[in-house]
Amino acid sequence: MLMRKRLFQIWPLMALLVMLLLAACGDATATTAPAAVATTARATTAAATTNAPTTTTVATTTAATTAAATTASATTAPATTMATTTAPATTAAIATTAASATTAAGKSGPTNYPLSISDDAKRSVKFDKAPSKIVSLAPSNTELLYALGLGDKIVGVDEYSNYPDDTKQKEKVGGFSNTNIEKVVALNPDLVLAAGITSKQLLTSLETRNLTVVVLDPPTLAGVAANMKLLGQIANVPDKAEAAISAFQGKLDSIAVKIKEAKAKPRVFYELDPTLFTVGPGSFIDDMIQKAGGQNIVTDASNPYPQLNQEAVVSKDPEVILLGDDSGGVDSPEKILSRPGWENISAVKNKRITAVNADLVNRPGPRAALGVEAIAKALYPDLFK
Amino acid sequence: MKQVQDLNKLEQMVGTREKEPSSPNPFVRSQSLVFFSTRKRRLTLISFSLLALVFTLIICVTFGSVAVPFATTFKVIWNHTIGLLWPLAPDYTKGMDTIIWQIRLPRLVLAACVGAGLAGSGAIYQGLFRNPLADPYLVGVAQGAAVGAVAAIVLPLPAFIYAAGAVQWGAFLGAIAAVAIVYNLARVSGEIGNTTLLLAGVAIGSLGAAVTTLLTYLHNEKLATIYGWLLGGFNASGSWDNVSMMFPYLAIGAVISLLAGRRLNVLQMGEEQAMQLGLNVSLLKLILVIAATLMAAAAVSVSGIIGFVGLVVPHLVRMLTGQDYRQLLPLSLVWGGIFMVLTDSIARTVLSPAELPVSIITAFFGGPFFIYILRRRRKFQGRQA
Repeated sequence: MLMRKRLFQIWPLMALLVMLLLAACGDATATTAPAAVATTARATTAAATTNAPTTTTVATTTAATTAAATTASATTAPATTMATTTAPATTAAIATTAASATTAAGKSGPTNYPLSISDDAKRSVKFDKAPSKIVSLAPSNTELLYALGLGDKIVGVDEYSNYPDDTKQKEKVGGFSNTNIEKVVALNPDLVLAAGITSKQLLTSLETRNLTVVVLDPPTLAGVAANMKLLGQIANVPDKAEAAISAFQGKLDSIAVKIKEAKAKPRVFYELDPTLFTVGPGSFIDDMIQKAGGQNIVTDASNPYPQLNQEAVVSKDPEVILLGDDSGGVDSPEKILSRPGWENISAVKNKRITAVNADLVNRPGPRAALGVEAIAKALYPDLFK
Repeated sequence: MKQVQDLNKLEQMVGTREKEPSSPNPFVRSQSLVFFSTRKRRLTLISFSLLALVFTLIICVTFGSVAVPFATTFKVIWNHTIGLLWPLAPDYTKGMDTIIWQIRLPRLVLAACVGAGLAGSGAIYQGLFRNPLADPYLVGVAQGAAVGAVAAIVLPLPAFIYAAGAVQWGAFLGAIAAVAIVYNLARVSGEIGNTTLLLAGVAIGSLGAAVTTLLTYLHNEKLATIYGWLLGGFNASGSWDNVSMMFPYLAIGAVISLLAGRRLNVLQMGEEQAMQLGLNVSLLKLILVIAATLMAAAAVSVSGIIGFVGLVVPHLVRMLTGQDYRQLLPLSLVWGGIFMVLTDSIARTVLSPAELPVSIITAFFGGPFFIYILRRRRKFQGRQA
């Protein structure tokens, strides 16, 4: 009798534990929501609000800015003329643009060590030789390393790195908030590539263990190109860096050429979550929307990731709604279509709601150009058939 | 019949107690000028408060993120209510109609319902446990709801379940499950001890918080969505659907709290005395816990976790109008609604077009005001003694 009563009191607890177990299994087996899809940008939103001082969202090195400026000026000038030229001429123009961009950005010969550089967190780092064992702490960094042909130098990656497939064989050193410092130290890397999401505490604790840390946190697409160049310089692979930059920039330029044909820029609302957190000026995704030929409805916000009032969304009448997560679940285009009060929004009336691949839009790495293309496709379906 | 006579007798007894010097504990016994109110005073207070709620709603519906003239606001609301019989000429755009009738008004009404639900259940819990620190979140409502909602967000559920409002139902059932567990754990040989119940609430609360943290940790990719839900607010949830979902629970709670006022007054004498007077204490407890939990769970499921209202509003009402539960319960409901409508109006306009989480405002304004009232009352009593 006593036993039965005890059992009765304990069953809800057991139910809780079973629920927990289920959730854990869901994590391991789920195919619809892969655990490895970490979203740098969105995670930064949360981090920025919870512990503001640890994340630096707008940090550019002087090197990055100058490179960005030169790249931008080099590309915009031909781009305007490109609209009128024929297709083969266009490709040629793009090639020259990319080349001119890299040469304009500075010397591209082999690196002379010792080398002193300044990273996106304005830290100055010295190298005596090209790094041979690299640990990457963010998926964007991992992709950047592979793009520069440095994949075989990687000895450890964060657990969210999932591209390219080769990454799966690499040693995992933990997530963003729970990097295993012991493991990083044990791998004995001569370069640790951190990102904007990496906490200050982690940076400090890596530095106190005499590890060489470089923070890559590009605020814009141009910053990605600048980082490619920087990494090429550090690892003494200037040719590979140039090739990666021209591929990256070439993609962006071809998008720019295509959207030149469009008459007006559509108004875009980018939804991060169902409580209407979105991206504003100063965020990487805002830059991607602009490069894709869109016009973000958020033009004035106190922070790069504001929560937008529902009235404001309705009154600004976006023509396209982008959903920053294509893994389904709580938020989906269907849910937005059935939201009360949204039926008069142009995007809802014309059913122009697209969920974009989170891996492409949330990682400030080489595949960001594909992210821009995905957004451009959603904005101009007729031009990207 | 006998019971009612006993209650009357007891009320007289308590009434005479008022003349004795007040207890050093400012919460437990008569700290207001009038312990028991007359029927007339009570009705006046309640009807004035209801008028204040209506007035607040009218004022707050006229301003928001998008500027809508007062006359238009009035016409829109008229045309959707009384205007169904005697319509006014709609000289406003469809967008204005949507903003007022589909977004702003339901949001305000939902805020009023949630505020009423939280404050009403807080008042019930405080009276039931005779503990000034009791509030809906202390018996596990918030943490239970968080576990349910976060589990619904991270579990790979089929799409149709999400379409049916998985997160909302997860929160609602989670909250009820948590309170049920707490209630069962606190039952020692058929009786519910107050201390045991609060301790069980704290224990289950921290267990729930741990589960929430674990689920969030395992599913970093859903961080933005989880964070958005935990912040709470009415930006996305303010719709007539949610109002009609919440309203039945609020109505049940309100009716029960109107009927239970006198019995709660008797219970303040202590459980043994109340039992000797013929009050079925355990039945009263069960009914009131169910009523309060339904109100709080419904509130939390539509709004996320908004702290402070359930704790502070009943205390403010108590300090301003007295200990009599026959008026304390209805007044808490109404003033909880007013408090929430006001704070949410600040939340949706102060950073416009961006949002500020309402939970920050409730604490920011409620806290200092609470301290002010508390100090003023103490001083007043000090002079009196």
